[in-house]
Amino acid sequence: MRHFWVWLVLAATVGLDQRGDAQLWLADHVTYLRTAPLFLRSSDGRVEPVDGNLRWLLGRRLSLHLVRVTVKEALTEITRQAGLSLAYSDDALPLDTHISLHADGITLAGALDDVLSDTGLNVVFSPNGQATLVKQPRGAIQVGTVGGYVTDSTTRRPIVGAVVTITEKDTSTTGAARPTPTATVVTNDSGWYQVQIPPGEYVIRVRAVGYASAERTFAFAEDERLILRFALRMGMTRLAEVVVTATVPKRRLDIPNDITTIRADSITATQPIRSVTDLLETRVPGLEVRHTSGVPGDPSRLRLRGASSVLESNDPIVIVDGVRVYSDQSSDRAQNLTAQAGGVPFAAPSPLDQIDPNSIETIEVLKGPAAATLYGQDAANGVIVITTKHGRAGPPRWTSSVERGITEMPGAYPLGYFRWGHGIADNTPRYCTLQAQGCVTDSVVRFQLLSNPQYTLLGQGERTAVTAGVSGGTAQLTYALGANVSDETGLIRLPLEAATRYTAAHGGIAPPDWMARPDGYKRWGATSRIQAQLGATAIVSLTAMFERGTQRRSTLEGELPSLMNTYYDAASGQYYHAYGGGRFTTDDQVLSQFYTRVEDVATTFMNSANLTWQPRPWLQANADVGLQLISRDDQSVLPYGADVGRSDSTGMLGVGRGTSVVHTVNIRAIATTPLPRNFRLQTAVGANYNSTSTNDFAFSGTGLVPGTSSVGQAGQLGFPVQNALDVTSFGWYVEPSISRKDFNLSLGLRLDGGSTFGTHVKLPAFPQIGATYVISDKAWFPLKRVFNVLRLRAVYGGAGTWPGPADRLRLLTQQSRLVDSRSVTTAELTALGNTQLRPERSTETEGGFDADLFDGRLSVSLSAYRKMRHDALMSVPLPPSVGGAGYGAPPAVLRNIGVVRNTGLELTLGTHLVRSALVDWSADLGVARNHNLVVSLGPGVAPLFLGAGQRVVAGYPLFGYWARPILGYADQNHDGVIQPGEVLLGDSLVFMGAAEPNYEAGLHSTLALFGSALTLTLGFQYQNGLTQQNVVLTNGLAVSQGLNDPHASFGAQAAAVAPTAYGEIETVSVLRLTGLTVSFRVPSAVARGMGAEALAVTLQGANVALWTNYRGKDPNVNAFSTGNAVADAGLLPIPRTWQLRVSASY
Amino acid sequence: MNGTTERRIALIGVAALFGAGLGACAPQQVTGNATLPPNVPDPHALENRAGAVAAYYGTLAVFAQTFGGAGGLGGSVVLTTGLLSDELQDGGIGEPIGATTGGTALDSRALPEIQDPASDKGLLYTYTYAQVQRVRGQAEEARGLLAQYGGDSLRALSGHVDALEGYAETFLADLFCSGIPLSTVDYAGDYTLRPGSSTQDVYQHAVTLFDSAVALAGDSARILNLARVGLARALLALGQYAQAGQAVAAVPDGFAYAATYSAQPGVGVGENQDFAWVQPSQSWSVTTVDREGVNGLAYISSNDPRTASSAIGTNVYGRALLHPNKYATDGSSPIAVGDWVEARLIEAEVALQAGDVATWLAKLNHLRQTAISPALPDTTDPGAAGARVDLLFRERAFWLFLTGHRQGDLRRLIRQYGRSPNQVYPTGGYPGGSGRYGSDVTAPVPVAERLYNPLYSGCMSRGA
Repeated sequence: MRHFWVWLVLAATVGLDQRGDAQLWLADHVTYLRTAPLFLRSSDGRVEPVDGNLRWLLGRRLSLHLVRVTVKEALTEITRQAGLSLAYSDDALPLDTHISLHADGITLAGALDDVLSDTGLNVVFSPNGQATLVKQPRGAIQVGTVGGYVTDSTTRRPIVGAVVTITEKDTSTTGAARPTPTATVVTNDSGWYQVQIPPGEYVIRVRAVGYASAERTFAFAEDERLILRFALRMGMTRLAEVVVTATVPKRRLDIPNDITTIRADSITATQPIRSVTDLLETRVPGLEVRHTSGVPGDPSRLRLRGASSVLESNDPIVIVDGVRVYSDQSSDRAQNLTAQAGGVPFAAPSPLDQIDPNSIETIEVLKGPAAATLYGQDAANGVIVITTKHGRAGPPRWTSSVERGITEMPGAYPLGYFRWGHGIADNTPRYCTLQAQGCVTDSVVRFQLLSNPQYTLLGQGERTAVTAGVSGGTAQLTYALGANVSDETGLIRLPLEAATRYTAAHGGIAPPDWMARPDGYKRWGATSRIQAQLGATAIVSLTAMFERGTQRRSTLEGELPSLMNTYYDAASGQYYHAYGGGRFTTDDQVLSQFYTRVEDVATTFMNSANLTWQPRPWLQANADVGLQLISRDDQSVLPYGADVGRSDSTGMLGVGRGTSVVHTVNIRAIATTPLPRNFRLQTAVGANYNSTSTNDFAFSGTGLVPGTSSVGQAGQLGFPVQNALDVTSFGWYVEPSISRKDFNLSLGLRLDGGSTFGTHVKLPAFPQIGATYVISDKAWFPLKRVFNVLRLRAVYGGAGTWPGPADRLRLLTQQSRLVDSRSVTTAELTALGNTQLRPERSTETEGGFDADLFDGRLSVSLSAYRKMRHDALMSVPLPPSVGGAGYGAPPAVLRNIGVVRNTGLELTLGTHLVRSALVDWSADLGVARNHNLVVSLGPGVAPLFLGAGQRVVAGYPLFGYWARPILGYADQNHDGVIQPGEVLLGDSLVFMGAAEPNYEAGLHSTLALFGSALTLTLGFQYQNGLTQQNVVLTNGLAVSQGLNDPHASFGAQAAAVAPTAYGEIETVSVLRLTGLTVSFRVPSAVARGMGAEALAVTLQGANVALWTNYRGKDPNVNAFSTGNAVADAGLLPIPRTWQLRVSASY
Repeated sequence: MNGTTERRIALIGVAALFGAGLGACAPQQVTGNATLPPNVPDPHALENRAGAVAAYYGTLAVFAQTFGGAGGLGGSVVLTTGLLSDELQDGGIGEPIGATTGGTALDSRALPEIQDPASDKGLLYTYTYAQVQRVRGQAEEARGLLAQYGGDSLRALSGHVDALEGYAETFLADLFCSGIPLSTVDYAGDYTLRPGSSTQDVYQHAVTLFDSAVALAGDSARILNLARVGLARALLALGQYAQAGQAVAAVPDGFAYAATYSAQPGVGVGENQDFAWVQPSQSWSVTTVDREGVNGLAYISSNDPRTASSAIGTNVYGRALLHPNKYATDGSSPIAVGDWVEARLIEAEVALQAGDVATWLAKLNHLRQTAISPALPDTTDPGAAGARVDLLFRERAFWLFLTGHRQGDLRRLIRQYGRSPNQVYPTGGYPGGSGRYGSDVTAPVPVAERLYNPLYSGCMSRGA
């Protein structure tokens, strides 16, 4: 029998993941408990379990072929091969025990464990590595064994790598420091831990990444064998976690930032998660998720602690298994590539959401430059660190799940008004507004075609998803493989009226599927991670990820705002389509076209190799090498002849091809050396290289040949468009830190370089300094009974964001044009350029505290931050008289002029309200408050105007809404109608509100009954202070009550006729039931009867209910696919989802 | 060697390793030489003769966009001046008078100077303003490249650029209020903001540009005559009639310089005319109009072939839309910028100013006999001075119909011939019954100028 507990202890101390032999762990926890030798360290007269300093020795590999040898003979061979100096008395060795042992590659620890098992001998190491066999104390200090499983409270899956600490119970009342832990071990691949300790009263604490720690007190008698099981509950943030930083895995206690850790594998097992964005939303205080629409696969944009840049990206960077991946969410590439060649500018799926959420083990979110300094370029916007699932040694463990569900439109669209009358002069029936003269009202009709089954564009969507995975391995090689397939159909459908007309026009042939149900998102992929032990001191991990997503949609979706405001006059058979400010176009068809269909196909391949090498106990080196390739194949197609009933369409085809390639190389080394008074110095040095290349090409053709979809056969080809970008960044850093059990001080400095400014560049330096201090262990701390742990922390750090490679240049764009009826090449001034540009600089100061209270029933984390963005690049509009811009674009120049500040508070509360065998009720609450402010635009720079009434004004939030106020109105001519001239408008714009919420909160609560056999989970989201221009009102002005209904209040009339968006801008509060899950764990006997080890059935609801004062559809659908501006794009809100999920493990 | 020593040596080794790494990986080796992405035009690539020629063609293309084409955006000089004058009418009769989209604001002469910037952006004249100014910026850049790399053989092209910029400034002075900033993009430099210049100053600056064009035109008759006509047009606007007459005296009959367009809509090709874009099926529409607002001329009912229009459909308000016959409905027809017809009309006006009625009438009838086929019947002298002016400007309006001249002429009638705005511009009830024509005779300089140009403080005058 071989045990690797020693390895596991060592792994815990350095954050590595060493696993024991597969065959043995089963026997360990299933059959019996044996008396294994303890590996102890003798220091300063104390004997305690060994720590990581001896790993280099105990991990040495041996090759043993012993046949019926005595223990002494076995020890002789072992010590010879290992070079171990081992002292013992022959009397202590059993004489009649013979051993046969055949093992290649067995560690020294494993060999000693086998040979000395049940001998009653422990191995005690002196500080210089000398080992001595010592009899286990008997009688007064007889040892017993404590062991048990650690599992996820919801899924009942084993938690591997959980740290179990056993400490003598502190019975003093003097407030003395807690005793040193008696033993520390980590759970093995089946979540099992085991430790031998002397009798006494102990406190056992179990901690795991992403889980709330659990603690229990127990008394222990001689020779007792005690089983203590723990079911850990997921938590937002816990002090006990180990966090992967840019340099080395660290205890959260030593990290001065608030870092949110999400245990993704547990969430995906129960919650309705379709994307990485779903995983993040409402689970990270300070993270705002902005949706672009409710179309399947449509992207969202992430903002951590508010937006800081007007022009440059505010997107956080994403790291997967140590390597950076493409994560742009805001540039022109965030939409269908054909958009730039005259195609349809629909948003394309987010590259972040190309990552299969089921392949993820944990996500760590670093929220600002203070935490992200060492991550380098663009880390100022935060870092999302994703770690994929990795295998555990043992036999293959299979998991699978099947989901099937529906999506539907939440709520109805508002009714419109149509004022039907006739002209006084010509007696002709016509539409006329209340304000129009010479028109007599005959009737006012209320309508909404989207509520009419014959005309509505909205149907019911469907979703199916299947996942499967297998993991396992041996001590030398572990693996985890996963695969996923999902297919979702969106809500948009061809109205029945239009379908009927199409069928009639095509000789009885029904509309094709792409036209009838155009929206959909299909994806499939596979992920693998293999981890191998290389010799005694190195581990290599290889990750490969392949994902392919296909999003389908059509311009039918664009009919939504039109149909929403279309009045159908049955008498004349005419449709009155509203547009603009009180205007209509008439048509005899409900829809204006038959449709351009759009497809985005993205194929993602990512691989990474991570090497960890620890040649000495105090020296560790790591290297990450990675490559990510995303290949995009986008299309816009208007088929030949599809434009039924309109002009004879010869079709259009737009083709877009694009690639992004990201290379990453990271190297780092960490040296640790002890210092006096139990301090230790850890110095990390490292370097990063990252290059991102994108290359997109798009062109279009019209006049297609019937029956083909080849752009090569198009009658007319449009001008090709190529967009490419090569950005290289490089940086190196040094991070010394001094730490003790209760204290950590770290200093960091990073030098950052990039390709933007070419060869002659002075690299900016970004510093970082942070400290943590655990005060709850101090003798003078008065609230020990309440606080299990209380630590204070503070950190300051900086990071940079670089401008684009062409931002400095005055550009004359060359085009081929017809001039004087000849085709010539022109060079046209399109950008003035600015040679003085510098990187944007971000600094952040963060402070706070973390506490575990009331025996782990309550965890509190509070952070305050002040994030400054200096030298913020602004696209400063120039007066049109300068004239240096492209067609239709106002002239502008980039300047490092802005100062933007985000200040805020983030509070995380984790509670375990009820903890019993039958009922377990827990809740996690995250609350964030962010105040965004443009401190300065620079001297002499006027406020910037963006679209949709948004401005950038010093003293106000970025992208805030502004409008000319309606100061008053009066029916001066007493005609009962407010005319435009009867509305008094303010001369200047007034601030209406910030485009980002002031407060956000996420609440997740889980009620587990009957030993978690039945689990109810609720998720809520709250936002306050988000200001939007109501796109439903704006689009529906022509059918507004104020423009049509004589009973409309004067206020409504004034808002409708006044040339200002004042009446359409609303500051809203949102409370949303984001998730409702009921999960039933099928009894084991039943599951086994069905061939599964575990089986769960879950009913999941997403976006279940929304309570808001917003009069639009969905205030959280508020991002455009490009740029930084935020505005209501919520004509098609996030759908409501109901689905059934069956998951099983084998 | 004990453990501590070993550790120290190793730490020094690690530091040395990374120090060496830093030395080996100097920034330029790591980051490359700032190679521009392939889609970003390298500015240095244009610093040669071919680049100078490309920038010259760029000026021609931008000018054509601005003058009569729009590529779908709207707001050409011909369109906006036609709306503010009596040549065109917004097709959206019946919409709220306060509507800021489309051309209603221009057409109804309701153009307040202070606008909500968001609304201001939607007004056609803001596009026109930005586009005309863009011609000036492009011209500056082309002129710089031609001077640097063109050599003497391309001097005429510089003259051509000067002439087009002169026209651009003439358009500005015709349409916009007094107080137009002529800021500049500076070749090989930054930019320079300017305060507002009066209408007279803008015309005068245009004269300077035309003078330069004439000087640089060399043996290019086309460029020379374009510059002559433009010069005369600007001088006419300044009331310098004799000089105007001298400027065009050498312009031969038959000369024409026209901006050309494509039948294919869209920016990036040849930009079709925005007349073609504002069709009934589009979201807003314009139409040629007969006797608009009391004072408008009888462009339709006169059955004059020069201004004849044809129905092209009916818009949502039941309004039949008319399209000028002189331009193809696909927007591909050339539009005359300056030609011999205008030259003779200028000579006629100079003669009238000089009291030479016979020459004036002869010039007008010469055109009616030779500039159109079949010839038009001669016109006769109405006798009275005012009637002669009316006839002159009617002839100008009909010959130069929808070429961007009428707005300037109406202002000249006020400024130089003593007419009141309500005698020459559309007035009275605005068609559709929802209001009355306003009183504006100029478009204000867009609010963006006031916001972003600290030297600009608004219109000096909204009058003619």
